[in-house]
Amino acid sequence: MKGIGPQWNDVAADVFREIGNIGASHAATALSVLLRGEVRVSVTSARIVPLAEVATSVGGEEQIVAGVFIRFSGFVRGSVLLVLQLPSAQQWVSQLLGREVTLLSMDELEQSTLAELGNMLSGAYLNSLAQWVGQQVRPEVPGVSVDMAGAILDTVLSPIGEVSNFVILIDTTIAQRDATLGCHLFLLPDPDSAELLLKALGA
Amino acid sequence: MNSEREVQQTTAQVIKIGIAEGGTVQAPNRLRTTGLGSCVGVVLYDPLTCIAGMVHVMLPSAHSCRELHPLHTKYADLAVPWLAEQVSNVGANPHRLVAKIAGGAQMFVYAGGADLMRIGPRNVEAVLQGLEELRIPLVAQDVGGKTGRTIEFDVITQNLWIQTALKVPYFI
Repeated sequence: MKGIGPQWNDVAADVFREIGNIGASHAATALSVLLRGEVRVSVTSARIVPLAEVATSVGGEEQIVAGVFIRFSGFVRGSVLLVLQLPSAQQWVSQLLGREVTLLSMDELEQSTLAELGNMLSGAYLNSLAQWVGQQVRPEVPGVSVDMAGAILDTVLSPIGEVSNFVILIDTTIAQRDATLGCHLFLLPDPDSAELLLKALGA
Repeated sequence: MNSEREVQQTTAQVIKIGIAEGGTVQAPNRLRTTGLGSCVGVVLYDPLTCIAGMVHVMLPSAHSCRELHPLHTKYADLAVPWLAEQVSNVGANPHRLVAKIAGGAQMFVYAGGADLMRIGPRNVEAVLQGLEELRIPLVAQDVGGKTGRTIEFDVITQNLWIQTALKVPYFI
C-alpha cells in the first residue's frame, strides 16, 4: 500500500499524541489571550483513521459541522482540516464577536472569525509538528464551510483518496470555565509527503 | 403474518450509495447518497422500465491517478460508461437512458480568493463530457454553488430529491 498505510498505526499514533499535547498547550496559551480567561486544551486521543470511518468519527455524514481547511507547505506538504460541532463553533464565534451568531448563514465577519480561530488552533499543532522535526511548516490562507460533515469531508478527502487510505485524527477538548468544547483535527499529508513525514518523525 | 410479509414486500427500500460507490434499483425502490460536496451524484434511468442507477463520483479522471486498477465508480470518466452498462445489464434500454445530476459544489470559502482545487466544477465537466460521449440526454441538474447535498432518486416519479443544510428539500 502506498502513502499512509497500516505501518503508521503502531508508532505514529504515539508520536502524534505527543505532538498533539505540545500543540494543545500552545493553543491553550493563544486561546486564553484571545478569550480573556483561562482556557485548558487537552488531547483526548490521537489515532490513525481509515478513510471509510472518518465521517463516523465526527458524528455521521449528515451532521452539520463547521470545517476550517488549511493547506500547508514546507518540508512536507499537506492539509489540516478542523471539524467543530456546530454548537461549539457558534459559542466561540459568538464569544469572540460579542454577539449571538447563527453560523448556518454566516456573514463575512463571522466567516473570517471562524477562519481565524481555525488558523490559530491548527497553527499551534503545525508549529508543534515543525518543532518536533526541526523543520519549517508554512500554513496558507484558511477556507471555511458550515455544512453536512459528509460534504465537507468528501471535498477534502477526495484529492488524497487517490493514493491514501488513512488520515491522522487528533481529538481535542477545550475547556473554559464550565463550558467544554470538542474539536477534531485531521492531519492529511499529501501522498508524496507521507513517507517523508514518517521518516522525519522517526516513527 | 402473511399480511405483514406482504407489507414488507411492497414497501420501497432505500438503497444507500456510499462515496465512490454505485448501484442500480427497480421501482419502487429508491437510491440515496448522502453528503455530496465536491463529488457528483449521477443518476441514469430508463423511464419506461423504471430501472435506475446511481453513482457517487469523487474525481474527474482516472488518467491522472496513480492507481494500477482504478475503481470505476470513483472517477467520472469511468463511472458514466460503467453505470450505463450496469443499468442496461438489469433491463434498461441503453437508447432510452436519461440523466439527472447533482453536486460538484465548492465547499470552502476563502478570504483571499478562489478555491485553487476546483474539484467540484471539474467533476461536473467530466460527468457532462461522459454523458455527451454516450449521447445520454441530461434532463435536469443542480450543480455548483457552495453547499453540500444529500440526494434521493424516486424511480416512479423520476424526481431527484435534494436536501441541503439550509433549504427545505426540493426536487429536480
